[in-house]
Amino acid sequence: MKSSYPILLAEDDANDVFFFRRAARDSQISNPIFVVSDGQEAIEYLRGDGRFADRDQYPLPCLLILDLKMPRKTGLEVLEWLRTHPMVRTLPVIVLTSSAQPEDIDRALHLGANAFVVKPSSIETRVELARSIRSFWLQFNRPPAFCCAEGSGMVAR
Amino acid sequence: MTLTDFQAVFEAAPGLYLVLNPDLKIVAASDAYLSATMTRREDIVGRGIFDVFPDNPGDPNASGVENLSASLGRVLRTRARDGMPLQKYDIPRPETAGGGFEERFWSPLNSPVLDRAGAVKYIIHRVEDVTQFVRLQRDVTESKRTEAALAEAKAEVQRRAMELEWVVNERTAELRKSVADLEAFCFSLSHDFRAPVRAIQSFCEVVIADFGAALGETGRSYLEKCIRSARRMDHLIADVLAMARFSRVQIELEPIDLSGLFRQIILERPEFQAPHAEVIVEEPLGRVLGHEASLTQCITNLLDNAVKFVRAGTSPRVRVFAENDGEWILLNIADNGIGIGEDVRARLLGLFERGETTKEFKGMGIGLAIVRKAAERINAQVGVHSEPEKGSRFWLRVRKANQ
Repeated sequence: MKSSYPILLAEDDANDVFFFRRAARDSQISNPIFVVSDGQEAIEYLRGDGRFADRDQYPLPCLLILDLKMPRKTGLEVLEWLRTHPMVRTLPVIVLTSSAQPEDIDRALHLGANAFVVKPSSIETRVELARSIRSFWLQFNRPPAFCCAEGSGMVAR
Repeated sequence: MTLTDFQAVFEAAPGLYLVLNPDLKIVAASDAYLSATMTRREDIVGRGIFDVFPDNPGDPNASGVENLSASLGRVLRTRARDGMPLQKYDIPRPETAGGGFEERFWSPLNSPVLDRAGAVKYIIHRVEDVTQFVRLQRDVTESKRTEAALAEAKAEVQRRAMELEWVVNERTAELRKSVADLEAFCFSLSHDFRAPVRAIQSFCEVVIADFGAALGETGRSYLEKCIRSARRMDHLIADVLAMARFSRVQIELEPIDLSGLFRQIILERPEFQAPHAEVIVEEPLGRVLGHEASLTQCITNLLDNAVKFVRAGTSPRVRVFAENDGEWILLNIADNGIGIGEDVRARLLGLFERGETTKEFKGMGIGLAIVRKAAERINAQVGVHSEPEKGSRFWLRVRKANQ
């Protein structure tokens, strides 16, 4: 099932993880959501280091939702690493951050982010954003070859 | 030649000669000597040489008497000629020429005249006046010294200038760094503040969504108050961030259509729309020379104010209209709020002029400070007319754009 294509959420704030999961649930995103809590862990996950080597348990994601301000390595550093790494350089990345400095937007896009979104503050807007992600990124948008041999959308519908 | 002729020849000799006896009394002088020492024969002949030529009392370093008497002493003792090195020996100026002493430099030679028995009978004191020569040399030395001092001073000035430039550069770099640090700190702070505020808001919403029925009407209304407060806090933090950005970002003024801008702002903010408020814009407002983000900040904050401070039970009603004022457009935002008393108004103007904040305007302070800052950025002025109970009219005076 295409709805099994995994989403990786790199987010250090446990509250935001909770709100993202809830908004995903309320917008009928049924894809499995894996969470890493800092930039370093995100790189380790994508590279398959240590426990992440077990791809049955930690499958390579087809969409990365990336917070910018994280400990150990920032979202921008993750992007920088990502875009030079052959296996995952085509992975779609949505930057989801709490405050948008114009410099950050430009820098993230320059480093190859596919979208830049400021975290909504109300539940209603969070659900609206999750619906948009589901509709555009999981449904209409075509994922890169490494996670979708059939080349169709990422959710069954 | 007769003795008289010899005397005439001696007196007319083209040299400076003085003849002394062994008691160092003046016996004879050549005309040239008299002329050079500004003396008259009848005034000096018969007198002791140091009586006629004492040391200059105004020169503490005067050594003329000492050196000349030593030389003359040697001549008397050795009966041989004695040449003196260059000697400063000031001479008394005649009262008729103003008195005092005149600076002179001499090159003296003292020669004995011996009698048949070989004793010293006379001493011929021959001098050359080298004052001009010494002065000339001194002038040259002095001008050289002045030149050197000048060059040194120039070098010093240059060194100081370089030092100063270095200090200025260093301080500027330090200042830039502190500004950058402050901005980073401000950004980081606002980011860190917003996350928990957003969490408060969202968790309240989650509680209402999932447990609202169990809470009942009152419980839900309290949580809604929490949400509104959190949202306001979030706006305030965003404002602080905007304020920090306004201080540094360079902006360029461009023509802005005020009517369009108001439509957009009202469309984006439900609190400026029915049923929350009624904002009547009397179009066209005209085109001004401004900056969209700055004007949006100004207008949004002024509208916020206008709809916020109304008496309980009154629905906010705001009238926006423009007046022509020569090169300027006076943009008015008039409300039906509680109005402002004279004393408060004065302090409010202080806030506009100096950015002061006081307790009366809490919740209004940062908003108006932003208005002031943003207006300043686009060379606009801001002010307020108000009477208690009759509402307030805030105005913004912005330069017209060329049509």
